[in-house]
Amino acid sequence: MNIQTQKIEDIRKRYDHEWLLIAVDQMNEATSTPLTGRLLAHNPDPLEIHKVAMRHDGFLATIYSNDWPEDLAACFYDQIST
Amino acid sequence: MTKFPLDLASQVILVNVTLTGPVRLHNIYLILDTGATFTMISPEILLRIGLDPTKSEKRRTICTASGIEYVPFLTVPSIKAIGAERKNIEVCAHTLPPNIPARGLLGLNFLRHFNIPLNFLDNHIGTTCKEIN
Repeated sequence: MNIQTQKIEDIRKRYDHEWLLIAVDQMNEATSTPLTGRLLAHNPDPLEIHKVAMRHDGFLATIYSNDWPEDLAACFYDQIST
Repeated sequence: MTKFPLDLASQVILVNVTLTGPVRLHNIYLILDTGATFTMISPEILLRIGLDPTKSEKRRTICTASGIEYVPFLTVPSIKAIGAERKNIEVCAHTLPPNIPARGLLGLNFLRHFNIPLNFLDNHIGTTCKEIN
């Protein structure tokens, strides 16, 4: 199947609360940001995306379709115990 | 100095990160976390770039927001983010909760090698790529 390359932001807008697996065609190397690519898979479960990713070589990106939820606060840390 | 937009409306600082592994490249979102000692990346992403967390001989105890865990550590050949690159960087393989739209944390073992001013009032992150060893 021949999948057309598209802007990453245009792909994101088509999905709601899903993980997207994208074959990256064009990057902004200065910011490490994918600009265009081809959608290979989409799924709410990131592990389903991973199964597809393992079958593909090349430069892929895993991106969430939505911005960070406004009602989701976060508190992360990892501290090493020696 | 390289400048990156800082979204003041967002609850966290998300950054695009390119991981170069022994066999593949992968780009993901990580949360910039100055409270994290180490960079943390989901095991399945490490597996895709050619690093198998189950075969790691190095394991350490980490204290997370959800408790104490014993996790594998692996060395990623290259991590590029916010205009900076660090080679052969040690990361821990661990998964964030499933409702978090990022695949890990960009921690101090990456950040401490660069000048990265967080200019909240001017809405941008600046990165000086001069590496501080």
